[in-house]
Amino acid sequence: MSGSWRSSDLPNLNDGNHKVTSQPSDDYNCLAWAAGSDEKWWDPHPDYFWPDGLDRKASVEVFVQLYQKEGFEVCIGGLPEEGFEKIAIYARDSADGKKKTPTHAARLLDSGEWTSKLGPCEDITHATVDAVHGPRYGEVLFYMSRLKRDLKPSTKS
Amino acid sequence: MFDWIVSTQPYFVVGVACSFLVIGDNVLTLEAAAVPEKPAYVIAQFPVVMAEELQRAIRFQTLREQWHIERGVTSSIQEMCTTPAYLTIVGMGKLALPLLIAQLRSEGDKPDHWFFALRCITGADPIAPEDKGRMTKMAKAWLAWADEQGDNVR
Repeated sequence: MSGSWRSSDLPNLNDGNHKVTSQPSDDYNCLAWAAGSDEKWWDPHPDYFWPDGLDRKASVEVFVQLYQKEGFEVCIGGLPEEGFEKIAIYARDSADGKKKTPTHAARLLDSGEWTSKLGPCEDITHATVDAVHGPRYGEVLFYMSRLKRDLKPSTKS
Repeated sequence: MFDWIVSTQPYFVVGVACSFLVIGDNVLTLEAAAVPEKPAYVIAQFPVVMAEELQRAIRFQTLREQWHIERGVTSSIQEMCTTPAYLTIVGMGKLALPLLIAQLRSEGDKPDHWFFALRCITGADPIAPEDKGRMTKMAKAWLAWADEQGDNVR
């Protein structure tokens, strides 16, 4: 099953390092999916979901706070740890090259693979975090973890 | 017919539009020949007006397709809605409004990210705080807003 994205967006993906696991959807995005939600599109824009009290701004600091509100804390490394969920936050250089702009989040699965929602395209599992490195997402900037809790399938409204 | 045009694939619309324009020219030629005393511009008025709407609808669908390519896999609304194609739609201003609403209506429970453009063009903010990020509810809020506006957005 091949995805609906352009290969130039994610040049590191190949047949051997990922699997498409959903249909394309605009119901949710990577930020929600990394936190275990498939009900809302999370974005700082005023029309979209963003936690109360959090600056509506796409900065590394704000993204840390976003996931802290979900119980995550910054951690070292993306290797599986018993009892913990982990996410990877990706960023690329801003236009002026002076700071990093967060672009994407992926979630570590029990299998040791990662799951990503690719914008409005599909969900995929990918073998390593760097499989989605590239011009769109940049590279992993840091990892966060929280104590594992059930990721129950949510009901879409 | 307008809803139908907006909800159909662009290639098909192009075909229909081209046929229409050719038919329009033919009608103009035949009518002008049959009733020479009638001013040509009166006969031409209807096809020309329709052609503008069709051309705008075709342009919109072309930009929509282009936008889907340009936005790629980004999940950032800022990035997604500031691509050249999307900004061109926004730049159409109120002329794009009927197209945006018809497009949103045609998408049913799978709405696309037209909210940024709608807000930019109208300045309205009909989405309830608890519905922010819930795409289907966001679309319903905008369609209800459009219904309230009546002919202003048709």
